[in-house]
Amino acid sequence: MSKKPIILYVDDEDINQMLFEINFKKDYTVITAGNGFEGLQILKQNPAINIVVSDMRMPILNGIEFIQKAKEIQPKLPFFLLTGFDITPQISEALESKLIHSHLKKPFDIEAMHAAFSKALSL
Amino acid sequence: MQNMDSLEIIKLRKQLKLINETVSNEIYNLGDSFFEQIVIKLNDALGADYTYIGVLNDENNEMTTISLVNKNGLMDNFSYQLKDTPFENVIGQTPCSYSKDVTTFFPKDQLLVDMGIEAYTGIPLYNSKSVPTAILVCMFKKAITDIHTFEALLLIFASRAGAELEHAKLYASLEEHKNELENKVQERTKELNQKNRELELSNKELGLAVSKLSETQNQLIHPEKMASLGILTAGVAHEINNPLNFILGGYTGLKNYFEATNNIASDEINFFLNSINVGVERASKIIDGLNQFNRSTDSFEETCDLHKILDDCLIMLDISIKDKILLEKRFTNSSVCIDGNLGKLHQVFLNILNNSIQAIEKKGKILVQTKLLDSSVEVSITDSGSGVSKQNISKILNPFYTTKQPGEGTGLGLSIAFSIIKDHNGTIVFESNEGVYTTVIINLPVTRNSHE
Repeated sequence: MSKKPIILYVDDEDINQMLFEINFKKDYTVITAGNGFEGLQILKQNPAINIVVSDMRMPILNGIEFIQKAKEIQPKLPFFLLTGFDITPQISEALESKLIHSHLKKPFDIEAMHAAFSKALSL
Repeated sequence: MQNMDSLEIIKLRKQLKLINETVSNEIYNLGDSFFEQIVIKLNDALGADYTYIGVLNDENNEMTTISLVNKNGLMDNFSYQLKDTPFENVIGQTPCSYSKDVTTFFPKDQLLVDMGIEAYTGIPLYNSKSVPTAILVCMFKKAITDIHTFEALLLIFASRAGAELEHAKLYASLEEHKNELENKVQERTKELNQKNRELELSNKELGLAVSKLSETQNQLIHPEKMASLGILTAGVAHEINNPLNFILGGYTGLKNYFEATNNIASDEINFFLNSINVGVERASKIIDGLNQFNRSTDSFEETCDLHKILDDCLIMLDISIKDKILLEKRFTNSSVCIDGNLGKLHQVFLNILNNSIQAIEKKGKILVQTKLLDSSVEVSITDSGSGVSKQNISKILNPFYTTKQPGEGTGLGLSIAFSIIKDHNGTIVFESNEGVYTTVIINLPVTRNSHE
């Protein structure tokens, strides 16, 4: 019985959290957090987390800032950033420096996300 | 005895006539004519050989005649030094008369000697300020016994002649002043006209500067507006993403529900679900397109899908196109990739397509074609709009050239598009038939292209 991989999803919008869970609960165990600090807490307490997905626009810590801090706790995990359509210079830099594994578009492209997660886990 | 009396009477008659004439209105004459008349008449009446009026110079040492007659009529005027002549005694003093042998009294006066003068009578003439200014002289070649009678006669004319002299002088002075004034006025008028012209010129220049300023002001407002618009659309794009996500999420959930429960959804339900999906897709595309214009990167190494760019622009302009323009797309089958700046390429085509739309007044057509050449792609955009005249076609890429009203556009669109195309190592040409069509042909180097 293979355990389902665990995804940490960080997004300040409740509806997005729900949607993410509903859409991925079949293949993954989804843990959600409402902001960067909460995410960092959960990450510290849960070393078994396999994938981290974070929204970009959040209060206090934005997506990149959260991922930077999270990397200090779990440097080997694949981090995905949820972005809108514009890649800001900050985001392209994060991509280039391999801070984030890749970026995912919003609104969700469920298929693409599944594919991305699978790929990341198989590495 | 009787002969002498008749001669005397004739002489007296003559003299009386002369006196009458002098004081009458007939001789009331201004100018030189008076002096000439007087000396002529005097010479005649007194039977003199020479009669003249002479005017003194300022130093009172030289005399110049202003009218001179002998028995034959007027003679040329001459000037004469007063020293050692009878005139010296006359000036500013009393009348002076010599009945004979005048030369013996004035041996140094060469003139008297040369002219053979025997008798002489001269009176000084004064101006209204009692300053001696001239003399009136009669000279005789023979001795005159009643020279003092002559002197008395001359005295009658003295004040009148003096007054006339002064009159003439003043009149000349007046004329001089009048001329001087006229000249001054002319000069001043010239100066004023000149100043006027200069002011008019400055005014014109000022007017031009003011209109240029307000034109520039309008043009500055436009980029300001564009900049704020950029910020606005970026904000909107961000904010809309989440709600779109909710809708899509809901749609996905519902779809899964129907599949999971093996409930074959009715056609209607499917249609509803599909509507939600399509709506979200379209909204996403619009936001995507909008964001392309806000890209703040300056990189020229982005991989740009030409057809997607053109589609983005067409979506953006859809509202303007919808009911009035028939759009035809003839894209080459291959995908066309250009290395460059995504945002700026969007600007180029948005601008050109927008111009095409605005060139069409009521209804028309726009044709967008792409053709792959060896190492470049040719994009042509043809509209059935008003076109560009032959003389203007060379100007349309110039900055600020526009046919729109002020405030409706900067006239910078095409010149910016041109510079972006240049930055991408491309070319742009225009073809137009006024009132019929305009075609814009843009050539851009492609880096990778996939032929199907």
